[in-house]
Amino acid sequence: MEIQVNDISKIYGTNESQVIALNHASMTIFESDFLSIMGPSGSGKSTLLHIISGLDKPTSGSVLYDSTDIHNGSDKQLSAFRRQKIGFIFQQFNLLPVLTARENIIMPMLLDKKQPDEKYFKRLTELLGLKMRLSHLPHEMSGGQQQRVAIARALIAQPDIIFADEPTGNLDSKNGCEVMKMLCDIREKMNKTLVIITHDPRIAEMADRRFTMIDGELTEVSAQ
Amino acid sequence: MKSYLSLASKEIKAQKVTAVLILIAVILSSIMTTAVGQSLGILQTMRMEQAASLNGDRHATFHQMTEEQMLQLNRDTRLYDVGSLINVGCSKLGNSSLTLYVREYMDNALDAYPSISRVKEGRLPVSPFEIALPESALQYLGENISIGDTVTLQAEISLMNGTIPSYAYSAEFTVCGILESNYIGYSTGTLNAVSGEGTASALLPEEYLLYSTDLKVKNTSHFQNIIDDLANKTGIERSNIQYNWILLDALGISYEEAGTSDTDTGFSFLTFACIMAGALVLLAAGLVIYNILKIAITKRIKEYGTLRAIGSTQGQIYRLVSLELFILCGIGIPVGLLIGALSAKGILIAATGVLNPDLFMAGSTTELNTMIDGTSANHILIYFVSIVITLLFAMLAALPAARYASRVSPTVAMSGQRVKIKRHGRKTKTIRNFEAYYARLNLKRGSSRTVITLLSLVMSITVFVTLQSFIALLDTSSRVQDMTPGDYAITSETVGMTPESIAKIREHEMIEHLSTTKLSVYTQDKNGQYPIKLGFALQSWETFQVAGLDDTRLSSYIADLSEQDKNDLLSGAACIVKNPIPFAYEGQAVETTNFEYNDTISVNGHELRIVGIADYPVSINNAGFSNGVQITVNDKMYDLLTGSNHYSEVYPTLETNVDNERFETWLDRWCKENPGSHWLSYLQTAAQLEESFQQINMLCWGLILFIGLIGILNIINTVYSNIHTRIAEIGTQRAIGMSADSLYKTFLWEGAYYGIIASIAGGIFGYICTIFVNAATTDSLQFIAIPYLSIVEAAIISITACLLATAIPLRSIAKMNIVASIETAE
Repeated sequence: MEIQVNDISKIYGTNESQVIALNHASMTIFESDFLSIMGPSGSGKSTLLHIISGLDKPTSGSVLYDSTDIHNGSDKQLSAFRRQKIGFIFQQFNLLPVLTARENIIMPMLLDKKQPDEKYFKRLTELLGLKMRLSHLPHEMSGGQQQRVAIARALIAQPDIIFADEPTGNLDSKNGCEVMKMLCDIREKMNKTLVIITHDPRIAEMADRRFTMIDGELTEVSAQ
Repeated sequence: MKSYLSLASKEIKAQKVTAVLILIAVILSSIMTTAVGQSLGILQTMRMEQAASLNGDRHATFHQMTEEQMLQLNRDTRLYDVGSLINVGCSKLGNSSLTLYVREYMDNALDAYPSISRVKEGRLPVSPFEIALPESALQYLGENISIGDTVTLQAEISLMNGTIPSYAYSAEFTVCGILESNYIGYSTGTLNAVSGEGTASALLPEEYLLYSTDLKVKNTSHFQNIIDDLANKTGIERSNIQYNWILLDALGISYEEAGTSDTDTGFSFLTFACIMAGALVLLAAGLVIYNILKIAITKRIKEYGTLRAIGSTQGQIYRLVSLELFILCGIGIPVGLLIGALSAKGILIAATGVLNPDLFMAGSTTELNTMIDGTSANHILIYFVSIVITLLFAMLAALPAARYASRVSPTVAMSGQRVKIKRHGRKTKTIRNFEAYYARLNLKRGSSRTVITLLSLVMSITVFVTLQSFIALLDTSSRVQDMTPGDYAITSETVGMTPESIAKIREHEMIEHLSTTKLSVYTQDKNGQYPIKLGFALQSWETFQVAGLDDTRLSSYIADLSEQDKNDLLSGAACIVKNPIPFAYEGQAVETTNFEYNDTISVNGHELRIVGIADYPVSINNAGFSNGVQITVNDKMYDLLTGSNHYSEVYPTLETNVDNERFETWLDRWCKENPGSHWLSYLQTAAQLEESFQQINMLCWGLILFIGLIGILNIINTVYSNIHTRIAEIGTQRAIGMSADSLYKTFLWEGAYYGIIASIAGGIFGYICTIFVNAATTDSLQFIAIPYLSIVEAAIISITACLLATAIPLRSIAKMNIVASIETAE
């Protein structure tokens, strides 16, 4: 797996109200990479992540996933890409409030008209410590537990790459540490690629490759 | 959870208020489609039954036929319910203006006229010279007539074309049955008696022994072609074919005279009413579903964004939203069908409960219910159509919301961005009333929701105003009622009534209005001269008649005339002409006089321009038309032309709630003072016909009620959503010092604005629709009186409903903790 981000820009608005969220950003993500992107609020981190993960389209430039431009396909192809190739973890968890933890986790499989591999499901939920919380609705769980459900949901379809947009931003430090520890643990055990956006330098330092983003400009800080 | 689609049912359970509101909309729309379908079926059946009852259960009648011609019709396989009768004769009933028609019905021919054949006592005649008389005729034929008595009738019979003189005779009949009275016949001054088979052949010379055959055509789409073909094959003159226009119009069958009879609008009105009511109901329900679903989806847009982010396709979101509605339809439609069926049944029972079953040829209300219920449109088909229509409209209504959900950008949805509020006018003016000002801003912020809600309310008001003008159009009986220009007819055929004596009637305290007719009929003397100076020649057999009408009555004749023609007619410079009825003698068309529009004629030295050709003659005492030329002028011109100012017939209309009996006693005295005059009451006929109008009225009110309910549901939903999607905003307003009263006022202003705007728009649209409805009746587009009462009623109801819908949910919000309100996730 290889993702090539080629000179992407994202511009909102026109003329005087024009805002350049991303300014000719480029990067390459290789299999098993662990990347962190840091930057102040409004610097364009989330925009970059949304574009790479196929949630949003760039104004210019391209994102190639194994040489295929992900934004060139139809909505069906893009949706399938999101279901099968990537997992996304949000800062706000974004669980569906009417579904139980189990139902939230398996939803990407159901959207793909598949049933989850029970063995894998069991392993995943055990790893994330969710075994006793599977029948709970989101509002019946703590923030940390909700984020663990979101991580499980991101991993259920066994994607190649996980995108995490400030996954600990809505958690206290203790829960935040726990979640990050689990995420890193799973990445290692399952050999996944992880791209994480964070404000926390400690989390950023956990990554193999670190990027910073200021005013839409992406810069790779160092490679370990 | 086997499929992602299970999310739909879980969302329904989670969003109870939304689900309940949609469910109510679905139930209401399926109630409506079912009730409307069934009610219109019932309405149409009742209309047909009523039409059949009023004028016989027949499509057409061929008159003046020989036995061979009659048998030819009987054998024709394109026809059914063919029945023949022979006119035995007619007899004047005492001093009244009523005429008793004696007819002999062959085989089952009488079945087409159940309203005149219901036996009250005794039986129907079976042998020659047996007779069944209507109860109302007995008083004129002798004292205490009962079964087995003998009555003598001085009768005469004439042919329709008047080619041979009428034949008068006297005959004795044995009364074998007394028939129930049918006052409908009073409007044409006729009563009907039935004589036994063989009477006519025993009494009448062969040339008068002619048959009339009632018939129905199987293939009604080719009705006129079949009638024309029958006329050609049997050699029957067109003038001898009588179309039963009341039934033909009710059944929607097109026929030759439809274009000129001014009655062709009946069925198309009913169809138009059905389509309009159905479309409006569905549109209103569709708007409710659309509005509720759109709001519900807006509230859940973040969830749909999440689903898109984790890989759902647009199609899957479409399916999810549609499935939610499908589930609600699955619950709502059967409930709606059930209530709809019960409502229709209720409407039927309520409607027929106040009716006289006689009008519908039924013996009792139960019989009437059974008859209508049984003959109404196929129930299963109605249910099926209701399901399909409701489902289709619900799904169509869900489409925009589903599209909105499926097209949402995952990033926009998840970042929690709200819908951007546009505000064009930002000039700061002095805010005199903050609550009203803020309410106006609130209306603009969700413009599509505001428009949909207003549209729904406007539709309800439009329907309310318009349907009230439709009510009158659906009434078949009113057209028969129109034949009587007053509550009574006072007639003097020979002497006439002086203006002084008529003034006494006009001045009577109970009289609201008096219509008048003057009529003079002139025939040629031996020298071919008329007793009036004419500047034109007529055929030897043609009469010349001058009719004078009062200005009000005359004006009703000339609605279609140009202003110039109207003015000329009313000033006495012009006249309307009824040309002679064409006829054939021994297969040859007889030449008749024929005047045309704009011809000028001279009568008694006065030049008159012809401004109109009348279809029907002016007649008195329900008498026929002595073939010839009739001119109709205004009252004063009549006096000048004829040299007489005597009235032939006048029609008093009484004030409401007056003592009829006291007036009739006075009228008896008046008639004694004016020899040769007699009177006839149409009040009973009017009352009988009024009953049938009530049933149609009731059905229309049912429609108004349902459409109103849907409009109210929409306003409740909008206001509820407005309040519940702004809880945090309300909390903020409270936090910065807004009192609960002020909060109430803001939302009440919002509700009031909805009501006021909708009332104004609904009133305007309602008035426009009323103009079109009126145009359809009169065939001319013109401004009519604004239906103020309906508009004001609708405005009061809608503003009250809007205020109530606002006040109820607001109470709970005002009581909410301010901090909890602010922290509520919108």
